[in-house]
Amino acid sequence: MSIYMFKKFFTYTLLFTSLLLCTSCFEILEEISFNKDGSGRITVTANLSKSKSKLASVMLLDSVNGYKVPSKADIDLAIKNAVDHLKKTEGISNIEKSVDYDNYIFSIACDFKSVANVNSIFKEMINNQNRREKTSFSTTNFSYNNMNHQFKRHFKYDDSIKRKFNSLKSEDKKIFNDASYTTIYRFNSSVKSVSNSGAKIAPNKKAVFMRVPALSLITGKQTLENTIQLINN
Amino acid sequence: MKKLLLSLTICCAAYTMQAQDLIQNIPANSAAVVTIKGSNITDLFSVKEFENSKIGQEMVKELTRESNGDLTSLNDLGIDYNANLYYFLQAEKGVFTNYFAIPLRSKNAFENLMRQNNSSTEKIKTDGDITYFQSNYDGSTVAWNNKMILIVVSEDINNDTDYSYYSYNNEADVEEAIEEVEIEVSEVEETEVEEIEYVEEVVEVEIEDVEETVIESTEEATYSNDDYYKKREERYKRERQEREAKRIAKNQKARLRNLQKVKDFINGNHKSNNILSNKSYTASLGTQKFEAHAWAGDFMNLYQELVVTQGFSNAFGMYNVEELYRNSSVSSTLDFTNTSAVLNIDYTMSNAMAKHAKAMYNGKMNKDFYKYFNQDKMLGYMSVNASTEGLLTEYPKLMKSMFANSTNNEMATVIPLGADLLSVFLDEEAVGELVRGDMLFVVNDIAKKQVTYTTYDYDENYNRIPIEKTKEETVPDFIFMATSNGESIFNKLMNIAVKENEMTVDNGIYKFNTPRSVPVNVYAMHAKGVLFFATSKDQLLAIRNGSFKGSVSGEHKKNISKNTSAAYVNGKNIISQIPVNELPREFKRKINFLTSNTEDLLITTGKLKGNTSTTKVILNTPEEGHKNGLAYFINFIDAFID
Repeated sequence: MSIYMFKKFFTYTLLFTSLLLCTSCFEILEEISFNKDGSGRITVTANLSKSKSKLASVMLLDSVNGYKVPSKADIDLAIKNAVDHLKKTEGISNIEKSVDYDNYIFSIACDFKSVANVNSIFKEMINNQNRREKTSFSTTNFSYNNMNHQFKRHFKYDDSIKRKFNSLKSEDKKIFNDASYTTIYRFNSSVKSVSNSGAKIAPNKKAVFMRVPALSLITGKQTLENTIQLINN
Repeated sequence: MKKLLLSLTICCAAYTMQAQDLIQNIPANSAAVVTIKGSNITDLFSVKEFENSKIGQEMVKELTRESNGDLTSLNDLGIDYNANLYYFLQAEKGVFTNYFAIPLRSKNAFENLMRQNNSSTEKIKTDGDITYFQSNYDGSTVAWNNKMILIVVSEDINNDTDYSYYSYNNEADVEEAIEEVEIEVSEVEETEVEEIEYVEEVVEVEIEDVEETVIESTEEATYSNDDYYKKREERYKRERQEREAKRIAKNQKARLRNLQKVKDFINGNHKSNNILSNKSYTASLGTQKFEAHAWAGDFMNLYQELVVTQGFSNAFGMYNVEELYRNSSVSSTLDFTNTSAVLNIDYTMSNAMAKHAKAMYNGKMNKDFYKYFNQDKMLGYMSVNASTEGLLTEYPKLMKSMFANSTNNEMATVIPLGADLLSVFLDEEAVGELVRGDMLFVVNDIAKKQVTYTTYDYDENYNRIPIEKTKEETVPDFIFMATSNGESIFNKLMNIAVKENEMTVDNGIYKFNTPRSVPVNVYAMHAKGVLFFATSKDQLLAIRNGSFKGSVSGEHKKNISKNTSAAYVNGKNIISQIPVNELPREFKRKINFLTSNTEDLLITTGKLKGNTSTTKVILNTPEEGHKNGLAYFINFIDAFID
């Protein structure tokens, strides 16, 4: 009983200092390497490394600020479900996952035959969300027009994002202060132009990079929407 | 003789002071009594001062609103704030009665307030000099005369069959009724198109008011002359009437019972055998310097009233509760001084329980611990002064005595057998060698530490390159100490852990291979007859080579050594460590109050004296800006009210 009391005391000491004193933020990366025939490979990475001290402490608890804290088993199961879903999705192959609890970095990558296959991964999920929350998120996230060699990242802002964010408690909102969403698209062809002023074209013209602060995405000040015009060479 | 005379004088003085006190009216067989000592509280913080606080202003505002402007101060209410206020519980033959007794200077203002706000259905009545009204719901009674207000709420748990009025059966009926209504609606929708709107409207209204009238709505919504429906409706009606009759009878019984209890209390019918004749209660009063006092008498009586009356004799017989809890009682006092708020809890246990507890907590704190930490920056500590050998010897005995006379034959056989087996297999003395039972956990400081994290850089073609960056984080610096003579067992265990890659060893100091995400390193060492776990390797090395200079005040040493357990939090040091910028904005505004108004908190549980264990919670309060501990709490609330 005494050891249990000490363990509890230690947990709460660690948690107290972590919750009060450690910063929390995360970054999400969306990377696509795109082939001329419309196929490619997509990698989505969630990097929570900067918050790892806080996460390691929070995961000692069942819930924090009224939210259930997922256990490692919960996270592993969620990733396994995502992989199983990918396996069942037409045109998706070569699925790889990476789970790093030392740094809290998680990623999933897969090959796709066409961007339509990538869209279909999330289609059901987005449709469910739209139905349930009466939102109007587009089920088309990516498109590629083979005729005019245009790659498009679609993004339709919905006010529900801001509403949801505003309903959070101020301490929960802080998580997004330093968070970001990064997109990197790599092509075999050269990039002629991009429509989003926040996007940068690599000097070799084969990649487009854009980092958007999470708060700008949430408030609708910035968008991921981007039309990338490729040169047919 | 002198001592005896002095004691008698103190007792007489205490009880003479209570001559007109409502305590005289509290029956001797009360199971629990709570006292709010009016004069002690108003001495610390007057009613006028309270009215000037934000919370007081809010209360006065509400009072003025409720009285349509007749009452503009708390004193106008007629309550005698200098006299004592009481709550007590009586448990008699399965009837649990809660009483709240509030002393009055004059009844007029209170009576007017009640008459203004009284519901028309709960009529105010008068019986002699007692004025009262009773709840239509459960018969709870509010009564008053010129000297006091008394609120009585009671519950009879004997053969509580009419319970079903608000319980499952009724819910099932209601659900069934709703279902039927829904069926009717769908039938109507199909066949009587023109009447849809009307029927739906009826159904909605009835569902809102479902407890009382939904069953009637089924009648109204029924369009069939079918015998089945008629019979069912008749059954519903009959059952409803039966339940209503039972409820009325129960309420009537409660009203009569409560009114009698009101009369007994207000008329002083218990004066000849009041709570002051209960030795356990009077012993718990002490010198009566407290602001609040709570006492709960023999647990067994309450337990028997609750469990046995309810007919759970099997549960009662499962454990040997009688032996372990007979004559157990608990009392507590809350006392505000100029610089503290002290909550004192005395738990008096049965002889059997005390015997087990004494052996379990017969520990001896290792005085060497005080050489190994420094109180300058210390944020807090927690100590346990138990005896591992005692715990391992007594725990099986406790289990045996708990189940020895169990009415459950299987338990009565298996558990004592298991306890014996545990004793046979465990070498209590040997385990006691490894960890003797005295332990101390000290949070030395909150230290800054460089921690690494992974992020990404990109080459000019935006290829991702993982890089490691560092940032400063604040982590707790702690040390845990436990007396141990089991160095060889410790080393064996550590070597296994090293082989299993769970630990690394350097110069006799073991390091746990914690995940990189955990911001602290934890080191283990066995030296000088002590088992150490700490976050600072330097501290452990310094302890081992004798160069560590510990510094602990006599007061902390006393708290740790003389008590079974002690927990201390240095509020001032903790608050000073919190970086204000990291806090939510709304909290920042309040941090100034905390920074200059937070002191220490100490919780101790003393060693058993006789059969009594005493737990003390002491919150030290700053002298400056607060005339006493009670004023501190009111100022604290004021600072945090927006």
